[in-house]
Amino acid sequence: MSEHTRTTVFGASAIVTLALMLYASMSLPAFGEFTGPYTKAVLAEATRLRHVDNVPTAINFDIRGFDTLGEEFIFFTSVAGVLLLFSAAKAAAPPAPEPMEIGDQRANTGAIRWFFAGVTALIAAMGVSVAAHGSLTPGGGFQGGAIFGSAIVCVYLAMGTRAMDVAGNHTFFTALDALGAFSFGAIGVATGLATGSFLGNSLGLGRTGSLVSGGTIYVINGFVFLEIASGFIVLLTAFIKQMRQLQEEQQ
Amino acid sequence: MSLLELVLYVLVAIVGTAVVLTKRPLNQLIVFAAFGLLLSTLFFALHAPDVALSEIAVGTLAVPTIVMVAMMKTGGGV
Amino acid sequence: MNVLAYLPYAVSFWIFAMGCYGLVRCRNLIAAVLALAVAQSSTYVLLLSIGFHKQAGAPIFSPTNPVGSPAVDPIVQALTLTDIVVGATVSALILALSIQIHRRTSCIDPERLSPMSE
Repeated sequence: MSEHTRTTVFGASAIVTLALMLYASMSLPAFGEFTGPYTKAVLAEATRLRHVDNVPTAINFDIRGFDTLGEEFIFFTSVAGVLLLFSAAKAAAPPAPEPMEIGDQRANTGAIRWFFAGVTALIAAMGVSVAAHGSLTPGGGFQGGAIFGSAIVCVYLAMGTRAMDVAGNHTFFTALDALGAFSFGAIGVATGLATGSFLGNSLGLGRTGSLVSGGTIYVINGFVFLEIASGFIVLLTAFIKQMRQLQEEQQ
Repeated sequence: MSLLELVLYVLVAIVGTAVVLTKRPLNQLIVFAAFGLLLSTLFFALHAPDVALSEIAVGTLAVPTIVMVAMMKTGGGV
Repeated sequence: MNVLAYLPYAVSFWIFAMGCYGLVRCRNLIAAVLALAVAQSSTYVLLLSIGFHKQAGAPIFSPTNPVGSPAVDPIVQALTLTDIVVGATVSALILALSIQIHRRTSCIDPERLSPMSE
């Protein structure tokens, strides 16, 4: 159908749907008046049962750990899909000549390169810190991994594609990605065999407020950090290398 | 509902509309990065620091880089 | 009826409708991905708005903020924070697909691309 017809049909149905949704939202509690019994139970018991101060982390990796396992596998599959698409494209494209150094260093002045070289270390350290303190302060494996994975773009901006290839070594980080995803499931199975329930927390729980606390929460946090960080590094490297292919095609 | 939350909600609605209504994909990307920043401020105001951290880490570096590379490769956006 | 009490839900539905509108009217697969991301973010706003509690702090406890002080809902926060990271990766997958489409057909206008034509 033409674009005009499509927009009209969409507009009509959107108005009706919006009206229905607004009417349905009136039976929700008013903003700020949420009274869920499960919430009260979790807030009262999570710190006592799991010795973890950061309650969303405890929920993610222990109380609702099974949902996080599913999300992590979505992440892993998407990264694998992107890599598959790009490697199939590389196989289909004509073989490129040996890449020259021209495209890497032409535009960046010394100041920009020094700045990004320094910033890379800061970002990587901050990512590790956010992930390591996941039981105590806002943060955890997901946030820390995303921050750490973003440092690879700074490496590229500082030193070009070759440095990015060396720093984000493809084989190493894809192996680390797979290790992280596999370990989450393996820990679940292992704790299932040990305690009789999948992802049951059977390691020592530690003292609330210390860095290593929460038992399997901390271990799973570490593995999730490995997986998300390696996934982002591999993903961003694959995308930026596509740009180098673009430069070669233009030459 | 305090003034801060009210202002943030209205701004989120306005900037979300702006992302969709902007013309060229390059401009849309810049407005989208601003939308991500505004969303994370809203998440802070709703007492959700974990979520705000996630949104900042992902929405200001990873997603714009990927979208920019895709724009360059497909020749659209300029 | 207090309009302000239901404004957050209305904002989230509005953003969702805008994201769908962007999908319907896009001339470019990249614009479609951005519109999809906007629609996804509307669900985060809705979830966090439902879980909010007035005069309550963040669900992170410490010696100065002991267990038992009022806090907002931590469960919706746990759902949302994993979803943000995973949603970005799925957008990357769609963008890789659109790069492939452009490589094969030199066209990324969803109106001119049709599954049946070649």
